[in-house]
Amino acid sequence: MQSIYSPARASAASLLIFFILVMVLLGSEAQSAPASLSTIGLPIALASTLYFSVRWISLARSSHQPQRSLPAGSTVSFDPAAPRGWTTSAQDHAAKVENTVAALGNDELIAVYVHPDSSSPVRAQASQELTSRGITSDDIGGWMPSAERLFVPSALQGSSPLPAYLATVRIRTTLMELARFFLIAGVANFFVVYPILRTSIFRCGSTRPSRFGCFPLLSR
Amino acid sequence: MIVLALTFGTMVLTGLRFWTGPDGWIFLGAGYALLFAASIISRGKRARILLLRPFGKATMSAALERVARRYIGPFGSVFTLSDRNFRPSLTLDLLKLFGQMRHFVAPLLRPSLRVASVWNDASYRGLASTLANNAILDFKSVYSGGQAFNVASANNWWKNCIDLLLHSTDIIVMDISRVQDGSAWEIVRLFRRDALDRTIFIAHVDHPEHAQQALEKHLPAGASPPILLYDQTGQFMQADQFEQAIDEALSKALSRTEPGESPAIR
Repeated sequence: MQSIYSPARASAASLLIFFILVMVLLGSEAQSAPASLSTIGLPIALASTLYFSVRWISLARSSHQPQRSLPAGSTVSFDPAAPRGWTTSAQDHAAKVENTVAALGNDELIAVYVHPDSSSPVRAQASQELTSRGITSDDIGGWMPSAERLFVPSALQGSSPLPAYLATVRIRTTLMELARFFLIAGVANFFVVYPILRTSIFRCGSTRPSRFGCFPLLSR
Repeated sequence: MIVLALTFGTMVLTGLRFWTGPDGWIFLGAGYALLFAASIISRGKRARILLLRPFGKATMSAALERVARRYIGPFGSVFTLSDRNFRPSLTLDLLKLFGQMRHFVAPLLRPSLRVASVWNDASYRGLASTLANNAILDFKSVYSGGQAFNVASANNWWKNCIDLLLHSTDIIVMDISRVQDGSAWEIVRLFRRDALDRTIFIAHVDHPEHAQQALEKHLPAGASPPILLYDQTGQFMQADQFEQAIDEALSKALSRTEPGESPAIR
Protein backbone atom coordinates (compact mmCIF):
# COMPACT_ATOMS: atom_id res chain seq x y z
CA MET A 1 0.00 0.00 0.00
CA GLN A 2 2.75 2.38 0.87
CA SER A 3 4.51 1.94 -2.42
CA ILE A 4 1.40 2.77 -4.40
CA TYR A 5 0.03 5.62 -2.35
CA SER A 6 1.92 8.49 -0.96
CA PRO A 7 0.40 11.54 0.67
CA ALA A 8 1.91 13.80 -1.99
CA ARG A 9 0.58 11.66 -4.81
CA ALA A 10 -2.84 11.34 -3.23
CA SER A 11 -3.13 15.05 -2.58
CA ALA A 12 -2.01 15.79 -6.14
CA ALA A 13 -4.68 13.42 -7.44
CA SER A 14 -7.20 15.01 -5.13
CA LEU A 15 -6.33 18.44 -6.45
CA LEU A 16 -6.49 17.23 -10.04
CA ILE A 17 -9.94 15.75 -9.51
CA PHE A 18 -11.04 18.92 -7.81
CA PHE A 19 -9.74 20.94 -10.75
CA ILE A 20 -11.68 18.71 -13.16
CA LEU A 21 -14.78 19.17 -11.02
CA VAL A 22 -14.45 22.95 -11.15
CA MET A 23 -13.89 22.85 -14.91
CA VAL A 24 -16.96 20.68 -15.40
CA LEU A 25 -19.03 23.02 -13.28
CA LEU A 26 -17.77 26.07 -15.12
CA GLY A 27 -18.29 24.39 -18.47
CA SER A 28 -21.79 23.34 -17.54
CA GLU A 29 -22.56 26.85 -16.34
CA ALA A 30 -21.38 28.38 -19.58
CA GLN A 31 -23.30 25.77 -21.57
CA SER A 32 -20.16 25.09 -23.51
CA ALA A 33 -20.12 21.44 -22.50
CA PRO A 34 -22.59 18.76 -23.53
CA ALA A 35 -25.24 17.96 -20.95
CA SER A 36 -24.00 14.39 -20.49
CA LEU A 37 -20.66 15.70 -19.26
CA SER A 38 -22.23 17.42 -16.30
CA THR A 39 -24.72 14.67 -15.50
CA ILE A 40 -22.19 11.85 -15.69
CA GLY A 41 -18.96 13.65 -14.96
CA LEU A 42 -20.23 15.55 -11.97
CA PRO A 43 -21.14 12.52 -9.81
CA ILE A 44 -17.91 10.78 -10.80
CA ALA A 45 -15.88 13.85 -10.01
CA LEU A 46 -17.69 14.33 -6.72
CA ALA A 47 -17.23 10.70 -5.71
CA SER A 48 -13.58 10.76 -6.71
CA THR A 49 -12.94 13.95 -4.81
CA LEU A 50 -14.59 12.52 -1.75
CA TYR A 51 -12.65 9.27 -2.07
CA PHE A 52 -9.28 10.92 -2.55
CA SER A 53 -9.93 13.44 0.19
CA VAL A 54 -10.69 10.70 2.69
CA ARG A 55 -7.74 8.72 1.41
CA TRP A 56 -5.51 11.74 1.74
CA ILE A 57 -6.65 12.39 5.28
CA SER A 58 -5.96 8.82 6.35
CA LEU A 59 -2.58 8.84 4.62
CA ALA A 60 -1.66 12.18 6.12
CA ARG A 61 -2.52 10.70 9.48
CA SER A 62 -0.52 7.54 8.97
CA SER A 63 2.42 9.47 7.55
CA HIS A 64 2.52 11.57 10.68
CA GLN A 65 4.77 9.08 12.31
CA PRO A 66 7.94 9.84 14.16
CA GLN A 67 10.70 10.30 11.65
CA ARG A 68 13.39 9.81 14.21
CA SER A 69 13.86 6.14 13.54
CA LEU A 70 17.40 5.19 12.83
CA PRO A 71 18.63 4.63 9.30
CA ALA A 72 18.85 1.07 8.04
CA GLY A 73 22.04 -0.68 9.02
CA SER A 74 22.61 1.39 12.12
CA THR A 75 22.38 -0.16 15.53
CA VAL A 76 20.81 0.52 18.85
CA SER A 77 22.22 -0.71 22.07
CA PHE A 78 21.60 -0.12 25.71
CA ASP A 79 24.26 1.88 27.40
CA PRO A 80 23.62 3.07 30.94
CA ALA A 81 26.33 5.68 30.66
CA ALA A 82 24.60 7.55 27.88
CA PRO A 83 21.79 9.90 28.85
CA ARG A 84 19.27 8.46 26.44
CA GLY A 85 20.72 5.03 26.14
CA TRP A 86 21.29 5.23 22.43
CA THR A 87 24.10 4.99 20.01
CA THR A 88 23.41 5.44 16.38
CA SER A 89 26.61 5.03 14.47
CA ALA A 90 28.21 1.78 13.53
CA GLN A 91 31.63 3.15 14.42
CA ASP A 92 30.58 3.93 17.96
CA HIS A 93 28.93 0.63 18.48
CA ALA A 94 31.93 -1.43 19.52
CA ALA A 95 33.01 1.25 21.98
CA LYS A 96 29.53 1.38 23.42
CA VAL A 97 29.41 -2.37 23.81
CA GLU A 98 32.75 -2.21 25.57
CA ASN A 99 31.45 0.51 27.89
CA THR A 100 28.34 -1.46 28.59
CA VAL A 101 30.29 -4.58 29.39
CA ALA A 102 32.63 -2.59 31.62
CA ALA A 103 29.75 -0.91 33.41
CA LEU A 104 27.62 -3.96 33.98
CA GLY A 105 30.13 -6.75 34.28
CA ASN A 106 29.79 -10.15 32.71
CA ASP A 107 27.27 -11.40 35.22
CA GLU A 108 24.86 -8.60 34.73
CA LEU A 109 25.12 -8.26 31.00
CA ILE A 110 22.00 -9.98 29.85
CA ALA A 111 21.23 -8.58 26.47
CA VAL A 112 22.90 -6.85 23.63
CA TYR A 113 20.95 -5.75 20.68
CA VAL A 114 22.47 -5.38 17.27
CA HIS A 115 21.01 -5.36 13.83
CA PRO A 116 18.94 -8.53 13.37
CA ASP A 117 20.76 -9.36 10.15
CA SER A 118 23.33 -11.97 11.16
CA SER A 119 25.53 -11.01 8.22
CA SER A 120 25.73 -7.42 9.40
CA PRO A 121 29.37 -6.30 9.82
CA VAL A 122 28.29 -4.36 12.89
CA ARG A 123 27.06 -7.51 14.50
CA ALA A 124 30.31 -9.29 13.64
CA GLN A 125 32.23 -6.40 15.15
CA ALA A 126 30.20 -6.46 18.33
CA SER A 127 30.49 -10.23 18.53
CA GLN A 128 34.25 -10.01 18.19
CA GLU A 129 34.38 -7.39 20.90
CA LEU A 130 32.39 -9.51 23.31
CA THR A 131 34.35 -12.66 22.51
CA SER A 132 37.60 -10.85 23.19
CA ARG A 133 36.27 -10.10 26.65
CA GLY A 134 35.40 -13.72 27.24
CA ILE A 135 31.69 -13.28 26.81
CA THR A 136 29.92 -15.81 24.69
CA SER A 137 26.45 -15.91 23.31
CA ASP A 138 25.45 -18.17 26.18
CA ASP A 139 26.34 -15.47 28.67
CA ILE A 140 24.11 -12.94 27.09
CA GLY A 141 21.26 -15.24 26.27
CA GLY A 142 21.87 -15.06 22.57
CA TRP A 143 21.42 -12.29 20.12
CA MET A 144 18.06 -10.68 20.30
CA PRO A 145 16.34 -11.16 16.97
CA SER A 146 14.38 -7.96 16.93
CA ALA A 147 15.36 -5.70 19.73
CA GLU A 148 13.19 -7.54 22.21
CA ARG A 149 15.24 -6.18 25.07
CA LEU A 150 15.20 -2.63 23.84
CA PHE A 151 13.91 -0.24 26.45
CA VAL A 152 13.86 3.43 27.29
CA PRO A 153 15.10 4.52 30.71
CA SER A 154 12.48 5.96 33.03
CA ALA A 155 11.71 9.64 32.74
CA LEU A 156 11.42 9.88 36.50
CA GLN A 157 15.15 9.95 37.14
CA GLY A 158 15.96 12.81 39.46
CA SER A 159 12.29 13.59 40.13
CA SER A 160 10.93 14.96 43.33
CA PRO A 161 9.51 12.64 46.01
CA LEU A 162 5.88 11.57 45.89
CA PRO A 163 4.23 14.57 47.63
CA ALA A 164 5.98 17.01 45.29
CA TYR A 165 5.11 14.84 42.31
CA LEU A 166 1.45 14.76 43.31
CA ALA A 167 1.47 18.53 43.82
CA THR A 168 2.76 18.90 40.27
CA VAL A 169 -0.03 16.61 39.07
CA ARG A 170 -2.62 18.78 40.80
CA ILE A 171 -1.25 22.03 39.38
CA ARG A 172 -1.06 20.48 35.94
CA THR A 173 -4.65 19.27 36.10
CA THR A 174 -5.87 22.68 37.23
CA LEU A 175 -4.02 24.42 34.41
CA MET A 176 -5.50 21.98 31.91
CA GLU A 177 -9.01 22.64 33.19
CA LEU A 178 -8.46 26.39 32.93
CA ALA A 179 -7.09 25.94 29.43
CA ARG A 180 -10.21 23.98 28.48
CA PHE A 181 -12.36 26.78 29.83
CA PHE A 182 -10.61 29.38 27.68
CA LEU A 183 -10.63 27.16 24.62
CA ILE A 184 -14.36 26.53 24.98
CA ALA A 185 -14.90 30.27 25.29
CA GLY A 186 -12.80 30.96 22.19
CA VAL A 187 -14.36 28.23 20.07
CA ALA A 188 -17.85 29.25 21.19
CA ASN A 189 -17.04 32.80 20.22
CA PHE A 190 -15.96 31.86 16.73
CA PHE A 191 -18.58 29.28 15.92
CA VAL A 192 -21.63 30.39 17.91
CA VAL A 193 -21.57 33.93 19.25
CA TYR A 194 -19.92 35.69 16.35
CA PRO A 195 -22.09 34.12 13.61
CA ILE A 196 -25.27 34.88 15.58
CA LEU A 197 -24.33 38.50 16.11
CA ARG A 198 -23.48 38.81 12.46
CA THR A 199 -26.87 37.67 11.26
CA SER A 200 -29.20 40.28 9.83
CA ILE A 201 -31.77 40.18 12.64
CA PHE A 202 -29.21 41.68 14.99
CA ARG A 203 -28.26 44.37 12.55
CA CYS A 204 -31.75 45.86 12.52
CA GLY A 205 -31.62 46.79 8.89
CA SER A 206 -28.30 48.51 9.03
CA THR A 207 -26.41 48.33 5.78
CA ARG A 208 -23.07 48.28 7.56
CA PRO A 209 -22.13 45.31 9.70
CA SER A 210 -22.26 46.44 13.29
CA ARG A 211 -19.93 45.10 15.94
CA PHE A 212 -22.65 44.97 18.54
CA GLY A 213 -25.68 44.55 16.32
CA CYS A 214 -28.73 46.55 17.33
CA PHE A 215 -28.28 46.44 21.07
CA PRO A 216 -27.93 50.10 22.04
CA LEU A 217 -26.83 49.20 25.53
CA LEU A 218 -23.97 47.20 24.16
CA SER A 219 -22.79 49.97 21.86
CA ARG A 220 -20.32 52.35 23.31
CA MET B 1 -19.88 20.12 33.44
CA ILE B 2 -18.26 22.65 35.72
CA VAL B 3 -16.25 24.05 32.83
CA LEU B 4 -19.34 24.27 30.64
CA ALA B 5 -21.32 25.95 33.40
CA LEU B 6 -18.51 28.43 33.98
CA THR B 7 -18.31 29.17 30.27
CA PHE B 8 -22.02 29.68 29.90
CA GLY B 9 -22.22 31.78 33.05
CA THR B 10 -19.39 34.01 31.94
CA MET B 11 -20.96 34.47 28.54
CA VAL B 12 -24.26 35.52 30.07
CA LEU B 13 -22.65 37.79 32.64
CA THR B 14 -20.59 39.66 30.12
CA GLY B 15 -23.68 40.05 27.99
CA LEU B 16 -21.67 39.06 24.95
CA ARG B 17 -20.06 42.46 25.18
CA PHE B 18 -16.47 41.48 24.89
CA TRP B 19 -17.11 38.26 23.12
CA THR B 20 -17.52 39.32 19.58
CA GLY B 21 -15.33 38.79 16.57
CA PRO B 22 -11.59 38.56 16.82
CA ASP B 23 -11.65 38.81 20.61
CA GLY B 24 -11.99 35.05 20.48
CA TRP B 25 -8.32 34.83 19.65
CA ILE B 26 -7.55 36.19 23.11
CA PHE B 27 -9.34 33.25 24.69
CA LEU B 28 -7.79 30.73 22.34
CA GLY B 29 -4.35 32.24 22.96
CA ALA B 30 -4.87 32.16 26.70
CA GLY B 31 -6.03 28.56 26.46
CA TYR B 32 -2.92 27.53 24.60
CA ALA B 33 -0.66 29.48 26.93
CA LEU B 34 -2.13 27.51 29.81
CA LEU B 35 -1.70 24.26 27.91
CA PHE B 36 1.99 25.07 27.39
CA ALA B 37 2.33 25.97 31.05
CA ALA B 38 0.72 22.67 32.02
CA SER B 39 3.04 20.74 29.72
CA ILE B 40 6.26 22.29 31.00
CA ILE B 41 5.45 22.24 34.67
CA SER B 42 6.53 18.62 35.04
CA ARG B 43 9.83 19.36 33.21
CA GLY B 44 9.60 16.14 31.24
CA LYS B 45 9.71 14.05 34.40
CA ARG B 46 6.40 12.27 34.16
CA ALA B 47 5.71 8.64 34.73
CA ARG B 48 4.99 6.42 31.78
CA ILE B 49 1.98 4.20 32.31
CA LEU B 50 1.11 1.15 30.24
CA LEU B 51 -2.57 0.32 29.88
CA LEU B 52 -3.15 -3.31 28.95
CA ARG B 53 -6.72 -4.05 27.98
CA PRO B 54 -8.96 -6.52 26.20
CA PHE B 55 -9.56 -5.88 22.54
CA GLY B 56 -12.70 -5.81 20.51
CA LYS B 57 -15.56 -4.80 22.78
CA ALA B 58 -16.73 -1.25 22.11
CA THR B 59 -18.74 -0.66 25.29
CA MET B 60 -15.91 -1.87 27.47
CA SER B 61 -13.40 0.31 25.63
CA ALA B 62 -15.64 3.35 26.06
CA ALA B 63 -15.74 2.85 29.83
CA LEU B 64 -12.02 2.26 29.91
CA GLU B 65 -11.38 5.45 27.96
CA ARG B 66 -13.14 7.32 30.75
CA VAL B 67 -11.11 5.50 33.35
CA ALA B 68 -7.89 6.33 31.51
CA ARG B 69 -8.82 9.99 31.20
CA ARG B 70 -10.12 10.46 34.72
CA TYR B 71 -7.96 8.26 36.93
CA ILE B 72 -4.79 7.33 35.08
CA GLY B 73 -4.02 10.18 32.67
CA PRO B 74 -3.32 12.84 35.31
CA PHE B 75 -0.47 10.78 36.76
CA GLY B 76 1.55 10.20 33.64
CA SER B 77 1.64 9.54 29.93
CA VAL B 78 -0.53 6.53 29.22
CA PHE B 79 0.17 4.11 26.36
CA THR B 80 -1.99 1.37 25.00
CA LEU B 81 -2.10 -0.69 21.84
CA SER B 82 -4.57 0.45 19.24
CA ASP B 83 -7.58 -1.46 18.02
CA ARG B 84 -10.80 -0.50 16.29
CA ASN B 85 -12.21 0.88 19.53
CA PHE B 86 -9.14 2.76 20.60
CA ARG B 87 -7.80 4.76 17.70
CA PRO B 88 -7.38 8.33 16.51
CA SER B 89 -10.56 10.40 16.54
CA LEU B 90 -12.50 10.46 13.28
CA THR B 91 -14.02 13.78 14.32
CA LEU B 92 -10.57 15.29 14.57
CA ASP B 93 -9.76 13.96 11.11
CA LEU B 94 -12.85 15.61 9.71
CA LEU B 95 -11.94 18.85 11.45
CA LYS B 96 -8.76 18.89 9.39
CA LEU B 97 -10.99 20.13 6.61
CA PHE B 98 -11.35 23.34 8.61
CA GLY B 99 -7.64 23.87 8.87
CA GLN B 100 -5.78 24.72 12.02
CA MET B 101 -8.93 25.33 14.04
CA ARG B 102 -8.85 21.62 14.93
CA HIS B 103 -5.93 22.28 17.26
CA PHE B 104 -8.22 24.43 19.40
CA VAL B 105 -10.97 21.85 19.43
CA ALA B 106 -8.76 18.81 20.08
CA PRO B 107 -8.15 19.51 23.79
CA LEU B 108 -11.92 19.65 24.21
CA LEU B 109 -12.54 16.36 22.41
CA ARG B 110 -9.76 14.60 24.33
CA PRO B 111 -8.85 12.24 21.51
CA SER B 112 -6.49 9.31 21.72
CA LEU B 113 -3.43 10.31 19.70
CA ARG B 114 -1.43 7.78 17.75
CA VAL B 115 2.19 8.11 18.75
CA ALA B 116 3.63 5.26 16.72
CA SER B 117 2.82 2.57 14.21
CA VAL B 118 4.99 -0.50 14.35
CA TRP B 119 5.24 -2.83 11.40
CA ASN B 120 8.97 -3.47 11.04
CA ASP B 121 12.28 -3.14 12.80
CA ALA B 122 12.78 0.52 11.99
CA SER B 123 9.33 1.59 13.12
CA TYR B 124 9.84 -0.46 16.29
CA ARG B 125 12.90 1.59 17.10
CA GLY B 126 10.81 4.62 16.18
CA LEU B 127 8.48 3.69 19.03
CA ALA B 128 11.45 3.61 21.41
CA SER B 129 12.54 7.04 20.16
CA THR B 130 9.04 8.36 20.70
CA LEU B 131 9.00 7.08 24.27
CA ALA B 132 12.28 8.85 24.96
CA ASN B 133 10.89 12.21 23.84
CA ASN B 134 9.44 13.29 27.15
CA ALA B 135 8.82 16.94 26.34
CA ILE B 136 6.85 16.13 23.20
CA LEU B 137 4.85 13.49 25.05
CA ASP B 138 4.08 15.97 27.80
CA PHE B 139 2.60 18.43 25.38
CA LYS B 140 0.71 15.78 23.46
CA SER B 141 -0.70 14.59 26.75
CA VAL B 142 -2.17 17.98 27.63
CA TYR B 143 -3.25 18.45 24.01
CA SER B 144 -5.29 15.26 24.23
CA GLY B 145 -6.64 16.10 27.68
CA GLY B 146 -4.75 13.28 29.37
CA GLN B 147 -6.22 10.59 27.15
CA ALA B 148 -4.13 7.46 26.53
CA PHE B 149 -1.87 7.43 23.49
CA ASN B 150 -2.40 4.55 21.13
CA VAL B 151 0.26 2.52 19.38
CA ALA B 152 -0.70 0.67 16.24
CA SER B 153 1.16 -2.52 15.53
CA ALA B 154 1.21 -5.27 12.96
CA ASN B 155 0.09 -8.70 14.18
CA ASN B 156 3.61 -10.06 14.33
CA TRP B 157 4.92 -7.06 16.25
CA TRP B 158 2.44 -6.50 19.05
CA LYS B 159 4.24 -8.78 21.50
CA ASN B 160 7.49 -6.92 20.90
CA CYS B 161 5.67 -3.64 21.48
CA ILE B 162 4.27 -4.92 24.78
CA ASP B 163 7.73 -6.11 25.78
CA LEU B 164 9.27 -2.75 25.04
CA LEU B 165 6.49 -0.93 26.87
CA LEU B 166 6.76 -3.29 29.84
CA HIS B 167 10.39 -2.36 30.26
CA SER B 168 9.94 1.30 29.54
CA THR B 169 6.96 2.20 31.70
CA ASP B 170 6.88 2.89 35.41
CA ILE B 171 3.36 1.69 36.17
CA ILE B 172 1.18 -0.89 34.45
CA VAL B 173 -2.60 -0.90 34.64
CA MET B 174 -4.19 -4.05 33.27
CA ASP B 175 -7.88 -4.53 32.55
CA ILE B 176 -8.73 -8.20 32.92
CA SER B 177 -12.46 -7.99 32.31
CA ARG B 178 -12.18 -10.30 29.32
CA VAL B 179 -9.07 -12.42 29.24
CA GLN B 180 -8.44 -14.19 25.97
CA ASP B 181 -5.23 -15.48 24.43
CA GLY B 182 -3.57 -12.07 24.13
CA SER B 183 -4.38 -10.95 27.65
CA ALA B 184 -3.36 -14.36 29.01
CA TRP B 185 0.04 -13.98 27.35
CA GLU B 186 0.34 -10.52 28.89
CA ILE B 187 -0.44 -11.76 32.40
CA VAL B 188 2.17 -14.49 32.12
CA ARG B 189 4.61 -11.95 30.72
CA LEU B 190 4.00 -9.62 33.66
CA PHE B 191 4.82 -12.46 36.03
CA ARG B 192 7.93 -13.59 34.15
CA ARG B 193 9.25 -10.04 33.90
CA ASP B 194 8.71 -9.44 37.61
CA ALA B 195 6.38 -6.61 36.79
CA LEU B 196 3.52 -7.67 39.05
CA ASP B 197 4.66 -5.37 41.85
CA ARG B 198 4.08 -2.33 39.66
CA THR B 199 0.87 -3.60 38.10
CA ILE B 200 -2.65 -2.57 39.09
CA PHE B 201 -5.35 -4.98 37.96
CA ILE B 202 -8.74 -3.53 37.15
CA ALA B 203 -11.95 -5.02 35.75
CA HIS B 204 -15.41 -4.00 34.67
CA VAL B 205 -17.94 -4.35 37.44
CA ASP B 206 -19.87 -6.92 35.39
CA HIS B 207 -16.95 -9.35 35.18
CA PRO B 208 -15.31 -9.70 38.60
CA GLU B 209 -15.53 -13.51 38.65
CA HIS B 210 -14.01 -13.89 35.21
CA ALA B 211 -11.19 -11.56 36.19
CA GLN B 212 -10.50 -13.45 39.40
CA GLN B 213 -10.53 -16.79 37.59
CA ALA B 214 -8.15 -15.48 34.94
CA LEU B 215 -5.63 -14.43 37.55
CA GLU B 216 -5.93 -17.73 39.37
CA LYS B 217 -5.48 -19.61 36.12
CA HIS B 218 -2.45 -17.74 34.80
CA LEU B 219 -0.59 -16.80 37.96
CA PRO B 220 0.94 -19.24 40.43
CA ALA B 221 -0.95 -19.93 43.63
CA GLY B 222 -0.42 -17.24 46.20
CA ALA B 223 0.25 -14.51 43.69
CA SER B 224 -3.23 -13.09 43.62
CA PRO B 225 -3.19 -9.31 43.50
CA PRO B 226 -6.36 -7.31 44.26
CA ILE B 227 -8.71 -6.36 41.43
CA LEU B 228 -10.32 -2.94 41.44
CA LEU B 229 -13.70 -2.62 39.74
CA TYR B 230 -15.04 0.21 37.60
CA ASP B 231 -18.51 0.75 36.18
CA GLN B 232 -19.75 1.71 32.73
CA THR B 233 -19.44 5.43 33.51
CA GLY B 234 -15.76 4.99 34.22
CA GLN B 235 -16.09 5.41 37.98
CA PHE B 236 -14.23 3.11 40.34
CA MET B 237 -16.28 1.34 42.94
CA GLN B 238 -13.37 1.88 45.32
CA ALA B 239 -11.88 5.11 43.99
CA ASP B 240 -9.82 5.71 47.11
CA GLN B 241 -8.28 2.26 46.78
CA PHE B 242 -7.30 2.94 43.20
CA GLU B 243 -5.75 6.27 44.15
CA GLN B 244 -3.88 4.55 46.94
CA ALA B 245 -2.65 1.89 44.51
CA ILE B 246 -1.46 4.56 42.08
CA ASP B 247 0.28 6.43 44.91
CA GLU B 248 2.05 3.26 45.97
CA ALA B 249 3.09 2.41 42.42
CA LEU B 250 4.35 5.96 41.90
CA SER B 251 6.22 5.85 45.15
CA LYS B 252 7.95 2.63 44.10
CA ALA B 253 8.74 4.06 40.67
CA LEU B 254 10.25 7.19 42.16
CA SER B 255 12.37 5.22 44.59
CA ARG B 256 13.52 2.88 41.78
CA THR B 257 14.87 5.71 39.72
CA GLU B 258 17.31 7.48 41.91
CA PRO B 259 19.89 9.37 39.83
CA GLY B 260 22.42 6.99 38.35
CA GLU B 261 20.28 3.94 38.82
CA SER B 262 18.84 2.20 35.82
CA PRO B 263 15.57 0.31 35.84
CA ALA B 264 16.06 -3.40 36.13
CA ILE B 265 15.80 -5.49 33.01
CA ARG B 266 15.70 -9.20 33.17
